[in-house]
Amino acid sequence: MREPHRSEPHGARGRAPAARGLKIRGLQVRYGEFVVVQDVSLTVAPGEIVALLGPNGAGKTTTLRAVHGIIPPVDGEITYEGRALHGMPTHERVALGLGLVPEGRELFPGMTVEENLELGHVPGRGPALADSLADVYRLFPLLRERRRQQAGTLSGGEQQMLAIGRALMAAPTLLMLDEPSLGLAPRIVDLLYDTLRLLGERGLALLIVEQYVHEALALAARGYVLESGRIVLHGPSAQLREHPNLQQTYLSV
Amino acid sequence: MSVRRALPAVPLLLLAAGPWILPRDLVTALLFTFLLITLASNYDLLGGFLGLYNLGQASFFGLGAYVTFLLLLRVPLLAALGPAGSTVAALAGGAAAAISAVLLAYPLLRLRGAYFAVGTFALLLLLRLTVDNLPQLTGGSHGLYVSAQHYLSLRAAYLLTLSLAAASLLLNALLASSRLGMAMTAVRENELAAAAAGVDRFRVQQVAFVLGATPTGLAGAVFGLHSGYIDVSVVLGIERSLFPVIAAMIGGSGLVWGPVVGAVTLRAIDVALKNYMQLPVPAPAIYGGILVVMSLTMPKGILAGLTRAPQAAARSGSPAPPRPARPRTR
Repeated sequence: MREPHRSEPHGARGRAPAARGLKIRGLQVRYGEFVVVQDVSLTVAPGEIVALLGPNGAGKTTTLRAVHGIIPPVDGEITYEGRALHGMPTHERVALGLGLVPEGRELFPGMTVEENLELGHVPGRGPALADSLADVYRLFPLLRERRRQQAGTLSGGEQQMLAIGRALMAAPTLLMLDEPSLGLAPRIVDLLYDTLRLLGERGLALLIVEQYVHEALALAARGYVLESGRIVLHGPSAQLREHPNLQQTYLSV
Repeated sequence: MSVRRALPAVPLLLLAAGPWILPRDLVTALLFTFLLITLASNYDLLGGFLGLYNLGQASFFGLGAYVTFLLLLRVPLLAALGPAGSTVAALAGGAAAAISAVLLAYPLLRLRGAYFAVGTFALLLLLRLTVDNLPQLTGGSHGLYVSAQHYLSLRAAYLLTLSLAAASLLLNALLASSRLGMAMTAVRENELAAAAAGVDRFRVQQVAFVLGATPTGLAGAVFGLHSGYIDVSVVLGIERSLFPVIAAMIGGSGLVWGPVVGAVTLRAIDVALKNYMQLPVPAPAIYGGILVVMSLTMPKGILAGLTRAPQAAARSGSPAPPRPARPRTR
């Protein structure tokens, strides 16, 4: 079903392949008078892994929230699989195949691990509840062990796994991850990225927001660098990695 | 498990025998307690699960009562049917409460926190004003009467209000373990995460609003048919709206049995105050005082206060090893 993505010559025929995947054009988002996202245009093709990099406050989280319908943009256009998302409530975007693993996990700490997962399941979308649960537990065996435990008692790494698992329960076709490595030990980050690689190999498209570029660029095919609400750099990961002074100039890590 | 589940049925059956074995005064007192339990647990469906404080719960009580009465007074066919007509009218009263909740959800659920509380209270005041100012339809301040053939006997009203109270408790208990209840808790705990997980906040809250309005509407209908007379101060009273809130608060909000404990406590105090004591101050002042003392001593209610206390004692019995003080370094 999934056809390999071919990059189109720039500015070629308007319609056909352009409709697939996520397209953001000229996105602008404000909090009151404060413009957080000035002008962001980016694409994620079906099955593609893309990194969105940038320093604190560059507008990465805001971009993801606008895509997920949590913040309304003031200008610009977001389409997914050819459908304009403007004004569409978040739960409908989830039903369309968009998944978000929010910054800081945002779990329901008072509920058990399994309840958190069940909540992520959208009846009528993707596999049945039991099958979805089994699949998440296969991916994260640790969550199965902890399934009766309250989510608030998990370690940071386990919480991140649960947040990803909860998003996967809705059978997304594009998973957006907001700083999945935040606050995790390097060993756990490696583990997490192994899982993300596996998800990518299954054909799931990923849009990964990170402040720490190394892991993200190792996994992603392409990357965008966001600064002060604008895309200042984009290209294939290999090219970005070799960019002179990428870290010092744009990411200030 | 099934035995445990069936246990509440025993006191329920005993209570159902009430009208045949208890003195009439006590039966009436219990009837009013069941009404309060119904309204309090319906209130707490939103207050406890969703953190939405509906100060206008009596709106649905009044709507149920007025629609029932108006149908019996204006539709000759229903009036002619006698008790069957009353039943249809009462069910229509409940349906009117449900339908108005569906519609009222659109404006009211745009409001959050204190604004929702104020909005629901304004709705009650609006209904009171409307009924007062349409005397041709609603009888205005004179109220409405139905003919004696539609009266509900004390026994019937007792059994119906008992059923409504039990159904309301069952509804809350079932919700607590259902997917909808989980979604409600999720919306209350973390709205952003709930949205990210694909939960439709509005729909979840709207369904809860309707579920919390329907038994209250039916209770209004039963109450009206039992007393044979309704007016604004009785079915749309401010106290009618605030007592459920107080009952849920002092009993234990968010707990299935909390509103029951609160309602029984409140009714017991009410009966004691009115029947056996010469009041030096108006009753509302006493309730205000109780509320202040309760929120200072047991902010989570009697039930939570009672169930938490032994756990806390057990925990303090075997104290956790003290954490080594971490030296402050820079």
